[in-house]
Amino acid sequence: MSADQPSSAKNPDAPVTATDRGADTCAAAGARGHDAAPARQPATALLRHDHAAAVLTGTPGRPRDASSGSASIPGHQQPGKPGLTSPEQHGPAKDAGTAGAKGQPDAPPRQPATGLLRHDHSAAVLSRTPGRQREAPSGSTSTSDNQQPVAAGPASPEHLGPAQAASVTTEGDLRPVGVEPQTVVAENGAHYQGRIGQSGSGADGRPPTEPRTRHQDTDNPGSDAVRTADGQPDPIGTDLGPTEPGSASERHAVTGRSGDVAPDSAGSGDNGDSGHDLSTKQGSEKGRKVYVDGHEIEVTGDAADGIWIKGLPGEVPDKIGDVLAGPEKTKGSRGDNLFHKAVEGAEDLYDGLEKNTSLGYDMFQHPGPTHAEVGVPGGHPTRDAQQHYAADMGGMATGILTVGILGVAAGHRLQDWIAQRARRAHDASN
Amino acid sequence: MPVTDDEIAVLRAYLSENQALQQELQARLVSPAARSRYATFVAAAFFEAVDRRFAGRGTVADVIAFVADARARSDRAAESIDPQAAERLIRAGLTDEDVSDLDTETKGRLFIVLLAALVSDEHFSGDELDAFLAEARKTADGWLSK
Repeated sequence: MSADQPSSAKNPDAPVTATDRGADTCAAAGARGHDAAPARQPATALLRHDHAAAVLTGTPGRPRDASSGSASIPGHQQPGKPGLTSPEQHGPAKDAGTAGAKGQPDAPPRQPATGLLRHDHSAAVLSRTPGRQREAPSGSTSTSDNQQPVAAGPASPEHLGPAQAASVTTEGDLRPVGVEPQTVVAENGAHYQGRIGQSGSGADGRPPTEPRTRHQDTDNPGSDAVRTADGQPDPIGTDLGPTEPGSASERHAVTGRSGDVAPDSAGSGDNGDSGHDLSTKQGSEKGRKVYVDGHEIEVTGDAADGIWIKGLPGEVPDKIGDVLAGPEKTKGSRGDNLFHKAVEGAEDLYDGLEKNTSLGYDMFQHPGPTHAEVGVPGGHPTRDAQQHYAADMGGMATGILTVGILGVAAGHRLQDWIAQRARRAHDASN
Repeated sequence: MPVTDDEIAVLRAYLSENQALQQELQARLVSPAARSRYATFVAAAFFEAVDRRFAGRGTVADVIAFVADARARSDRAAESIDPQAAERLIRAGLTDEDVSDLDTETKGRLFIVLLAALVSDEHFSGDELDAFLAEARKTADGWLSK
């Protein structure tokens, strides 16, 4: 485990809280591209629900200093807007962001954060930056182009409820059957988390910071709900904290995240530009397309459908080529084409027919295969042969029996005939 | 002039694998008109067979597989059948493939040989063969009337 390991992982006795998982998420956010592949850690639905609840019930007045870490660039701040951060608040954000610096040798391995957290985190990043252009300092500026400043509005938890519920239900690890589109986003991950990690992390090339234990601040719910062990506001926790989208656009950012959708040419995720291997294409409710490593998946929303990625082993290849004669071409037009180009004006066509008629009989004498040939291992009599042998023995026995019966009958007749002749001779002599 | 029963009898004997009868009947086709009608009738039968086998479902791969199978039926067939020409001629019955660059002897050879292969694979009964020839006759009459 890396230095950015969550507290719960380092200390098994430490209680696992939603904020711990938030730390996992943020640690994983910038860990994409490192060699150390994370092992997926089991999670329970309850914990994620708890986390979702924690996210939902956070204080609305918290500063959004570290949402995605992009707040570490003061130049991108727009002063005077509600919820903007002070320069002091960028420090932790930078620290948190650098934890997942791409290409850093000692960067923490990608932590198996839950999809919910990633979703929530990215959603929070997208939705709770009123008046601020989210712009990543390191190559992820392209993603910020899709971001529209979201006006700060009054919190409306009832609006967020469905979105959160959707996020919770799309957690792949928790769903025993079926995978829904956002599950794919979460599990294959890295789209959101990679972006989050880039936008606030690793840009300055600083090494990862020490792991921070974050605790839920229950004493002062009005302040930061999530704090680090040293009592400092947790920037990442802040980001994962209260999500209070009030406007429709914010809700859209949470539920649809169209602004966070990567282009269709989602790549391997190893570049700093896109940093994702998965993207989604918004469509209808049932016809959503998800891209995973360049493969397009149509999400039906039916758990029974599962996921099928084209090109996986076991797939039956399509027939090669298109159908030659489709319904758009009539038989008459095709026949006319053949006649005009192959028959019409061919004076000596008959000569070619006559000379090769005998060759045509080879087609009859050597017909093509009409069934698959099944090899039979040699050295052992086949069942058919045994059956034939048994049939021959039965026939032979039947024949012998028949001959015997006929012989006995003939013997009786011969005996009768001899007796009759002897009787006649005796009568004649008398 | 439409196809006569004489030309139909020759082709029916051929497709029924009655070589003796076929040779006897074909020897009677002495007039250029009769030979032209017979050639047109064979081409129409080829088109009909191609249409039955490939139209609406056959792909390029299917055509290639069929030609390869036909060429594999004998050494002479392998030597005599140009696969590209054969595939093009079949595609000419399905698409706008232009086969006007093929020489007439090649086309005649491919017509009669591939027709035999196609009909052989169909495993026609007597009635089915008659129906097939009747359909081909319609097509040939249509061509000859132009």
